[in-house]
This record gives sequence, C-alpha cells and structure tokens, in this order.
Amino acid sequence: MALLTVENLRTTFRTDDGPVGAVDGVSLSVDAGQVLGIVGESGCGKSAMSLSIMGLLPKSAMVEGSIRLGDRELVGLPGGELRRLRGAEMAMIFQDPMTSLNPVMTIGWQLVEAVRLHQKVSKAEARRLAIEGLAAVGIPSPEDRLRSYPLELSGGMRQRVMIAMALLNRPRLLIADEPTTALDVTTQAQILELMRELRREVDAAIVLITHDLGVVAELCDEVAVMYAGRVVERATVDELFARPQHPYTWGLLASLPGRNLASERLHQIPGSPPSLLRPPAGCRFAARCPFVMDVCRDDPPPLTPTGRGTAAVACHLAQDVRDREGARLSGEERA
Amino acid sequence: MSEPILRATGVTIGFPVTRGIIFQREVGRVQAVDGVDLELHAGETLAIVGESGCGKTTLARGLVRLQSIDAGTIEYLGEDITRRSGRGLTDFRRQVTMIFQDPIASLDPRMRIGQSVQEPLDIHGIGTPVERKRRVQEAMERVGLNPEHYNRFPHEFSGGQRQRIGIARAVVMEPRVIVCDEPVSALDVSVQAQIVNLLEDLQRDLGLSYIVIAHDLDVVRRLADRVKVMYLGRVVEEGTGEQVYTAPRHPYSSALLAARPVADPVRARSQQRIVLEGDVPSPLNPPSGCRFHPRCPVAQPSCAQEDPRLEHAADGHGWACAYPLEP
Ligand SMILES: Nc1ncnc2c1ncn2[C@@H]1O[C@H](COP(=O)(O)OP(=O)(O)O)[C@@H](O)[C@H]1O
Ligand SMILES: Nc1ncnc2c1ncn2[C@@H]1O[C@H](COP(=O)(O)OP(=O)(O)O)[C@@H](O)[C@H]1O
Ligand code: SF4
Ligand SMILES: [Mg+2]
Ligand SMILES: [Mg+2]
Repeated sequence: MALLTVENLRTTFRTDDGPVGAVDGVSLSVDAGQVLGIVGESGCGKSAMSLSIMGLLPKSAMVEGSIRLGDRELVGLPGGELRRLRGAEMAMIFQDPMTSLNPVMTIGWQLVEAVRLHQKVSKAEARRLAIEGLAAVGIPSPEDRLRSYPLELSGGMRQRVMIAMALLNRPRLLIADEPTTALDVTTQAQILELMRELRREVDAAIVLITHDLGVVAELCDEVAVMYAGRVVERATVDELFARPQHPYTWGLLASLPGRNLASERLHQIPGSPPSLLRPPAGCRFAARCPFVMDVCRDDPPPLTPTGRGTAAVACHLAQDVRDREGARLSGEERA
Repeated sequence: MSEPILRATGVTIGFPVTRGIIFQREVGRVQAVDGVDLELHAGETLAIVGESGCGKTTLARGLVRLQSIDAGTIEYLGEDITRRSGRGLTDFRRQVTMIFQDPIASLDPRMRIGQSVQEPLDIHGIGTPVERKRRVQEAMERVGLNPEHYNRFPHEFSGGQRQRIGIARAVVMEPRVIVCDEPVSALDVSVQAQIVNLLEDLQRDLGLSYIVIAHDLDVVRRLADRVKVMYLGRVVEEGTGEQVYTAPRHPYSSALLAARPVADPVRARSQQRIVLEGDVPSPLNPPSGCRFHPRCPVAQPSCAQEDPRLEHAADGHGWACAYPLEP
C-alpha cells in the first residue's frame, strides 16, 4: 500500500491581486522504500505542494483535496496533531539548511531537542542518538561537532546536519525540496551518494523535488513532471527517459546541453510559463507547444494512463503521435 | 597564431583578512587568484570552471579592471592596460564588458528598462541622444526584447528576460569581448537554452569573444572552445573542450567531470563513481605542495611537498600534476 497518497490537491494563495492556484488538482502516491521525483521549472508549485503535505503553509493559503499518510487524512488535521507528526512520522529537508537550523544554538542542542520532542528518552540517550545520526550522514568527529554552531560549518556539512536532524526520529516520509540546488557538483555528488545510501537503509518513502533531470535520473524510481500547478506526465524513471510522452518533457530533455552535444543548436522552449494568477483555460502548455491544436486551447487534457505500467500523460495528442515523437527524441540522442 | 585580443600574465589578486572592530589590522591575506596566465583570441570562447570560491569571479573582475590586481599584467590588443586610468581605462571598458548571474541586482529598480540599457552609453558619453536611442533599440531587438518593453520596470521581468536585459546592456556598447560570470546559473533549463543560443548567435553575428564562467559543465562544453580548470586560485588544467572533457589529465578535472549527474537512468546506474571527499580547503591557509593533495584520489607522499607547475604537451593541453591520469 502506498505510504503517501495525494488526491486532487489544490493549494491556493490569497494575494492582493487575487487567488493564485499554485497546485491545481495534483494526484500522486509513493510507497515505502521508493523515491518519487517531482520535476518542473521554478514557480510550477513544487514547494507549495510539499509545504501542503507538511502542513507548513502560511495562513494565506487554502488547501483542498486529500493527503493521506498511511491511512490518516492530513487535510483538516488540527495544528497540534500535525506538529506531532512533523519530525516524527514525516520530515522535510530544504535547499537552504538554515531554514531548519537555528544559528544561535549549537548543533548538539538542536539535535537533542529534536529527539526529546518526539521520543521519551534521557538526555544522555538523546545525545547518543544525535552522535549516531551525525555519523550516519558522514560527518567526521561527530562528538566534537555537537559543540559547533551551524555557521561554523561548510555548506555541504550544514546540509548533512539538516539531513541528520530530519532522520533522527526515523520518519516514514521524507520530503527533500531541492536539497542540492545551491551546492557545487562535487558536494551535490556527495549528498546524492548519501541519499542513495539512506534509501537502502531506512525504509522511508522519499519525495525528491528538483528542477534537474540529471538528479532525477540518478536517484528516483518514479517521476512526476509538473507544469504550471499540474502534473502533466507520470512514469517510472526508465519509462520517462526511454519513452517520454508529453511535449513539455520532450522540450526539457531536448534542451539539456549534456544530452544533446551533437545538435547544431540547442532546442529551446519558446516563451515562459503562464501566470498562475490567471492561467489559460485549456492545456497550460499550449502557448509554448509546437504541437498545439484547437482543442488544446479550450479543454484541459486530463491525466490519462498510457497503458504502460503506471505511466500517465495529460495531452490531447493521439497516443501513436506521442509514441513516435518520444521514440524519435530518445533515438536521436542515442545516435 | 594571431595576436590575442586579451592576454593576462601572472595575475595575482589577494584580499586582506582583518581582525578587530575599531582598529582593523591586517592579519593575513587570502590569495584568491594566484599567478594565472590567459589568452583570449578573436571570436573564441574561453571557459573557466571550478568549485565555488576557487577565484573565478575575482579573476574575471580583475580582467575587466573592476578589481585591482597585486601582480601580473593585462594586455588588450597588445597594449599593457594594467595600470591605465582615466580616458584610457574608459576606452578599454567600452570594448571589454561584463554580464552577471543576476543582472537585475545591478539595475536601478526605479529606472525603465530602456533607460537602463542606455545607461552605459550615457556614462561613457557615447553618441548623440538620437544615436543612443537607436543603439538601445537595436540592442534590445538583438537580444529578443520587444520594443514595448522599453518603458517597463525590472521587477516586471522573469529570469530569462532579466538576463536578456543584462546582455543588452553589454552589447549596446558594441564591445569586442564580453566576460560572462555565471550567465545561466540562475535559470531553468528551458530558459537556459534560450540564453545559450542567444550567446552563440551574438558571437556569430557580432564577432564577439567570450570568457564564460559557469559551474554547469555541460553548458561550458557547449559554449567553450577552450577550458581552464581552477582550484584554489590556480589553473590546474587547460586545453580545448575536447581535450579536457574527453581526456582529462588532472585528477581534479576528472573528479569534477565525474560528479555531474547524468540525465540517463540506465547510464547513471552503471556508472563507476569516484566521489570527491571533503570540502575545498580555505584559501587563507592552502595545503602545502600540490594544493589538491588532501582530496586527491591518486596522491603520493611527494605531493604533500612538491608543488607541481602547469606543464604543456605539444598540442597545447596543460596540467599541473606530478602523477597525471592516463589519457
Ligand atoms: N506565500 C505565497 N503567497 C503567494 N503566492 C505564492 C506563495 N508561495 C508561492 N506562491 C506562488 O505559487 C506558485 C508556486 O510557487 P512554488 O510552489 O514556490 O513553486 P516552485 O517550488 O515549483 O518553484 C508561484 O506562482 C508562486 O509565486
Ligand atoms: N571582496 C572580498 N574580500 C575578501 N575575500 C574575498 C572577496 N571576494 C572574494 N573573496 C575570497 O576570494 C576567494 C575567491 O572568491 P571568488 O572569486 O568569488 O570565487 P568563485 O567566483 O570561484 O566562487 C574566496 O575565498 C572568497 O572568499
Ligand atoms: S494538450 Fe495540446 S498544447 Fe497541451 S501539450 Fe498536448 S498537444 Fe501540446
Ligand atoms: Mg521551490
Ligand atoms: Mg563567482
């Protein structure tokens, strides 16, 4: 059974200019021991979705639909109960580790508090767990590090401390929102390697949010591609790269410089994503899509199974056209 | 080969490290750039890569004379401009311009886009008002900005459009060289491709030479004719894109390239990984011998003592390593 099930999630921010539909009817699920990647460009609603799951949105946001952790419904749960779940059953790591770390407290103090908030253990036992946690994420001399302040460490080390803190109480769900975006490739590779190990050792469901298809290919089992608040394509990672189905996904893959060395000119998706304040009526990708048809501008295409495993796509193009174009795209690159 | 447009020799740039609040005293110096040589030829793109803090931005700022240098020389078209000032410096800055990762940060938020693009012409007193207006329009058109954008304000633009504004401000001067510091790092892939293509188009149409700093090694591979890899203020490897990417000789270049995530799940699973351990040491207190030795997967005892010099093969490919990798 899926550990996390999101159904028809809608997250709307009230703003002075009107409601912003940051997440518009997203459905997805993740099993224990699996990594689900969420890809899409900035502003497509990835963070709004993860904050909805964690119950960390500001008051100006409204959440509708269903989010279930195991068999527990999270939408509408009182704040106190969500707080108890956060850090225990589910945890989140961010692009900027200082989102979770307090600059004026030692790392030891913060880790011990995080343990004691959720587990009835002695201070000494909490300290032991904290040291174990730091060691598990590859921090050298973890005992000494307990006395350090977050800003005394390098960016990569801070990222590790935040991951250790998120994992202290063995959560069943871990959401990682762009955990490597601000890092150098070398440090990114270290953190990805760490996440790969964690995935083998802790049986948590992981949601990995990123804008980088390389990171998806390295770490994820399943992928959901988001565009302007909606999921436009969902597939296993192998299926997505071998037979991409949505014109937006094609555009993303074709514009990667590393996958398209031979092409004379890098493919570019023209224009930019629509405003979520007043989104277009039909397919939200229509204004940038080279395959756009009349129907696309009027009717939003529903997310429909392709018939291959769990894969689904939201596009009015006929299946044979999508298969042909998708195959051509991955064929060209192999050539 | 012809005379380079820009040549830097032994460029060294340090920053004082101070202690004390009221009476600041210098307690040391960070050697951010340490003896870098560089030649840029007409119409070519030279890329500089390396982890953050290795001195790329400092070097770039030094090359365009936005940052004073402690030692070394910079020549433009064969003339030493290292210590030029006044009129001579202004002339140089008209021909060698720079674009940044976040161009908006350097724009006045209350100034309309058209005025911002025109600002460099005003500063340098180039052309009559009518000519300036024409050049602004041309530059905006060239970079794909609509004439209607002329009267808008910076905050009304998305990331990609902002970078176009930054590029328009650079090309309006009709320069020969543009130094681009992380021009696409803050952009999403789909928009990144638009800017990469734009830079290529401008180079072809205007005969520009570029120095590109980027941490995305795939973008660099696409744009660059030649690549320099920097580590802790020094060049550790240099060569054509082909040489450095397909046959890196320095273990650092090789590790950097291997760290790139591969956008292909099948290859990603089968790839052998050498993950570079640890962080870049502080440039305040660089390691003895080869500066890379504490992190180097193939270091030998002698590497802690002997500082390898950058040596070149006959084909121009150079590396600073006593135990280079087999090609
Ligand atoms: N607190 C907020 N108030 C109003 N709008 C917001 C807020 N947070 C996010 N948004 C808007 O919601 C949309 C989705 O944002 P976000 O989830 O942060 O995107 P992503 O994480 O994919 O970059 C964007 O249009 C953004 O401007
Ligand atoms: N204005 C400054 N004052 C003191 N140190 C600086 C200054 N600018 C850069 N540095 C130091 O110089 C080194 C190189 O920095 P930088 O050129 O910005 O690297 P990169 O662009 O490769 O990330 C770093 O150690 C940085 O901390
Ligand atoms: S529904 Fe139409 S506009 Fe949208 S992606 Fe498919 S073909 Fe393009
Ligand atoms: Mg986000
Ligand atoms: Mg820099």
